[in-house]
Amino acid sequence: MIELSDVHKTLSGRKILNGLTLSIGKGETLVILGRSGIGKSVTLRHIVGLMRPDRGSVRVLDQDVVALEGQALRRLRRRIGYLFQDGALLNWMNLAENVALPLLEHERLPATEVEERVHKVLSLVELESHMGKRPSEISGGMRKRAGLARALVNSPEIVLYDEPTSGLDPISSSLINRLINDLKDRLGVTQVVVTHDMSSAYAIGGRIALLHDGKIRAIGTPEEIQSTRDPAVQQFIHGRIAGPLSRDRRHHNEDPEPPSPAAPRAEEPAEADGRREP
Amino acid sequence: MSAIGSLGAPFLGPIRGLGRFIADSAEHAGYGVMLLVQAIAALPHAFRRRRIRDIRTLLFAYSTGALPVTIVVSVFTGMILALNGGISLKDFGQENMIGRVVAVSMIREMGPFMTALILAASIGSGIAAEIGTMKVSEEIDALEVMSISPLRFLVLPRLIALALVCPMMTVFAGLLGITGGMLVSEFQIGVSPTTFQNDAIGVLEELDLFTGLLKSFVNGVVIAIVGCTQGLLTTGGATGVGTAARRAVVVSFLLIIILGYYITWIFFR
Repeated sequence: MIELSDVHKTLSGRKILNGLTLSIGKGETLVILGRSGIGKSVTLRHIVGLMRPDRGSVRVLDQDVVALEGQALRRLRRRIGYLFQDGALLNWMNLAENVALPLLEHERLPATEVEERVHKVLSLVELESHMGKRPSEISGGMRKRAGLARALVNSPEIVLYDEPTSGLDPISSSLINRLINDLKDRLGVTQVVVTHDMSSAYAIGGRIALLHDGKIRAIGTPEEIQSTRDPAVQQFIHGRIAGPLSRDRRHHNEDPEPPSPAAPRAEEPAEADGRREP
Repeated sequence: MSAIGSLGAPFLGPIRGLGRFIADSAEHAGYGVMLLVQAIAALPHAFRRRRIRDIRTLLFAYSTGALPVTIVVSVFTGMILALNGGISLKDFGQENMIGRVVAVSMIREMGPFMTALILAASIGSGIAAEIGTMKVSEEIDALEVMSISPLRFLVLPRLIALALVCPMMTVFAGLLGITGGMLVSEFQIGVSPTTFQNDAIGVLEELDLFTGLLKSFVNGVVIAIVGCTQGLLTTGGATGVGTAARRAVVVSFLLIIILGYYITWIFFR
């Protein structure tokens, strides 16, 4: 469904992605963890064609995103929903208009159907009663939920989430996590979630990947990630100040491999019992 | 090598700055031209019902937004022209010719120029700030991801609205300026409104009206394209938005005055 292979990207002279290889199957939910500025959002941007890799390939829904342009790229993007960090709602429109925008711009649907679909997705994120408000009149968390409603209104096959729970209260976070799980379980939507929020990562389940030094440092189920001996993973999930992730990235580039040879990797097949040995 | 480097260091800063300025200017100019070409190619999309509604909304917002300033500036410009011109002409006993001075100045040059400056400062900078804010808050990316072309959705309606508002405001400013000049002529110079009107109407030609409208149309296009270009090329958060708004005004001013000269030169040389 989504395949990134040996993706390299340098921004402002800094190597952000350094041979990133990642494969996400149909209906799978992958949570990407990593420190700020490590390239998580850049990875999402490559998947949706907002950024082109310097080297490597990005295939989404059996299409080569790097080679797509114009109408073909727009057609692919219509099959993908994207939740931006702050919702990225248009300020001059109210929430209902924002959510309805992709439908009104692309599909010739009767007004009643548009209204019905907007109501449905806004009620999913519990914002139905605020649909007449503008983004400037609601909180950051509500904006994010409205952004999620907009990402879902087209019934996409893939949904990409950029920090879906950051800045949300615990109840709203749980709501988003539940929604992500519902989309996975009921509709089989393929999802990629970028987050710092460990509790959210565990609640969402699926596979968890740690991005470090421009590539996947470790990948596995929540249990595998929790039990791995990789000090970088342990440092991140326990939020320790000292550890390999705290060192200068220039030093990291010289030490890109995890110390444990058995640490779960994206390319490695799962163990016979479905669990990779930490 | 290091000694040479340290000797050259004080001079490298300004040279680097100049190099960056030239590279930035070339990038912005190229981007602006491409944006204009793409917007012209996308013109048929402006006739979609949703875009027509957007254009109507912007037309109203831009014209009402700039109206109060335009009224004050154009009336007083006409009054200043009449006062200065009238006093000078009176020395030669030619004050009856004040109508043509005010009318030709307002219709051919001052009206389009003044209106364009007002629109560039009030609307052009606003467009740059609005689109710049959208850029830094990922709204432009969100449009792209939703397969909504920012060119058709944002640039095209603003371009058409300003290309229409600018000539309309110019005609309005011209009429107000002439009225202001007529009032000063009567009360300060002693020229009757009838004499003023006859002289003004007698000297104005179709070419004056045409060039005035052409200039204002071009100015409207320039303000919209420069505003959108600066907005879409915004980087660096709130500071970047401020820079984009400032650049939009400065670049528009320069282009308005340079293009104004060449249009006059083409038609009146």
